[in-house]
Amino acid sequence: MTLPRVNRDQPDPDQTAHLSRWLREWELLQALAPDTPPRASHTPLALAGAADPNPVQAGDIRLLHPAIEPNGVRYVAVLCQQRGGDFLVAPFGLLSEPATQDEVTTGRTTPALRVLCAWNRFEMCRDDLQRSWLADRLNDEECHTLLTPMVTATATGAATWPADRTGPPLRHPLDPRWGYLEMESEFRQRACRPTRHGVVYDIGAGELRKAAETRTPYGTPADEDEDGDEDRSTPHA
Amino acid sequence: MALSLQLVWMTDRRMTPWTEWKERCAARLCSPASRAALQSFGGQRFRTLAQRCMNTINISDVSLVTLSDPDAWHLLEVHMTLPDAIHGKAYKEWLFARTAGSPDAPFDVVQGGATLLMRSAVREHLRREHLPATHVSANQPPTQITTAPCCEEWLPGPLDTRDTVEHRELQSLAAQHADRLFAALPRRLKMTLAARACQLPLSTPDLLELAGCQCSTLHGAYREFAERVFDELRECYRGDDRDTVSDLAVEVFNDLTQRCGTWAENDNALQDILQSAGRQDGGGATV
Repeated sequence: MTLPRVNRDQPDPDQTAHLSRWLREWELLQALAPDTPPRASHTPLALAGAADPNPVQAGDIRLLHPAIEPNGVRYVAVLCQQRGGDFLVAPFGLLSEPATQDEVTTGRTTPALRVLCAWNRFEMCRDDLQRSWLADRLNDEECHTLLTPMVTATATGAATWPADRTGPPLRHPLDPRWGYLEMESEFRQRACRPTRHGVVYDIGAGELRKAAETRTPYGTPADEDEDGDEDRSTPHA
Repeated sequence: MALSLQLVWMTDRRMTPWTEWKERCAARLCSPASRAALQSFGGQRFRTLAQRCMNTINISDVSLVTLSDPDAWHLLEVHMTLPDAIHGKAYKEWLFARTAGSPDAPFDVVQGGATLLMRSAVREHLRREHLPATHVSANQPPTQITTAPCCEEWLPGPLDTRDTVEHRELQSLAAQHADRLFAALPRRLKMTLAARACQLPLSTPDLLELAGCQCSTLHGAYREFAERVFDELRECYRGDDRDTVSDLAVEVFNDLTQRCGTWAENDNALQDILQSAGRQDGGGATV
C-alpha cells in the first residue's frame, strides 16, 4: 500500500526555536519539582485570615491564597463576572514561554506574569478571590488585547492572538507538552474544587420543616428515621 | 486565630528573622543576625536546588553556578517582587498565610514555602544565565550526550495548500485505521483518550475510581498505545516517506481521540465526570 504524498513547507524556525526554549524550561521545572507535593492547608478558606479589602473586579491580578494553591505563588487575571456571580479567571503560566496556541505572552517582564493561559480559564467564587490578594491590575491596553479575546471566546471556544504572541501548535500525542497541560489541569481542579464552596444540600424548600410545624406522631417509623433522638419528647398531635 | 499564630511566631525564636523580614522591606534592612540567617538559608537552598539541575545545563560543576549567600537571597527577593505593582510583595502574605491551620511548626512551614519560592527563582536564573546541556562549547563540553528533542516530529511544517486532495485522501485512510483500532480499544483506553479530549487530568479521582487503576497506569497505557499506533503504521507503510507516515499516525490518533470523546458522551458514568469537570472550568477550555 502506498500513501498519498502530502508536501509540507519547512517548519517555521521561530516556532521551532520557541518550542526548544519551552522544552528547556520544562526540563528545568521537572528537575526542580518537589519530591513530595506540599501539604494542602487544613483551614477552610473562610477562616484563613482577613479578606483583601479591595473589591474583586475584572482586570484584577490576584495572588491565590495558599488554601487554594499550596504548591507555589500563583497569580490569576480576573476576566469578567458570570451570571451566577462567580468570576471567570485565567491563570498566569509557570513558564516564561507560551506552550500552545492558547497561551499568550503578556508583554510583562516579571517572571510570574509573562504568560496568560487562556485554555485553563475557570470559574472562581467571589469569596475565594476576595481572600486572595490584589497584587496589581491589568492596564487598559492589556485588558483590550489579552482579556477581550478570552471573554468573547467563552461561548465559542478558543481565543486567538497574533502568532508571535502565542506558542506553537500541539498535534503529536507524544509531545511532552501534554504532560504540562495535565499538570496545569490538575492545578485548575485544585483551584476550583467544590469542597471550599458553600455546601449545597440537595433538598427542596418544600421538604424542609420549620421549627413550629406539626410533626408526625411519636412512634411513626419515618419520623424516627429522620429525626433521631432530639424530637422524642414531642407531644402527640 | 491571627493572634494565636503571632504568639507562636513570637515564642519560636527561629521565627525572628522571618517575622523581621516580613515587617521590613528586604533582608538588607533587617538586623545583622536576621540578615545573616536569611541569607544563609537562601544560599544553602540555592546550592541544593541548582545541584539538581546540573544535567540540564551545560555546566557540570555546581560551584560554577553557585551564588554567594547574599546574592542568592537577593535573587529570591527580586524574582518574587512585582515591580511598580499595587502590592508587589503579596508573596510575603502568601508565605505566612501557609502557617494558618497547618499542623507543622510555623518555622517549618515558612521555610518550606520559601523553598518553593526559591525553586522558581533558581529555574529562572539557570534558564537566563546558562545554556542547555546539549549545547556544545569548546570551553565547557556537555555533561552528557542526550538525544536531541524530536522537535521536527512534534512540530512539522504547515501543509502545502496545493495538496488538498492528497490530504483528504490521507484523512480518509486515517479514518479507516481509526475504525479498526477503535473497535478493539479497551474501555480503559477509551476513557483515557476521552479524558484527554476534554482536558480532564488523568489524575481525577472519579476517573481513576471508574477506571479501577492508578493514574500512572493510565499515563502508561496512553503512551504505550500512542507508540504502538506509530510503530504499526511505520511497519505497514515501510516504503513510504517517514514524515507522511507520521502525519497519518497523528491523524489516526486525533480521529480516535474524537471518537472516544463522542463515545464518552453516551457513557453515563463517564459523562457525569466529564460534565462535572466542565462545570468547574467555565466550559471554554480548548487547545
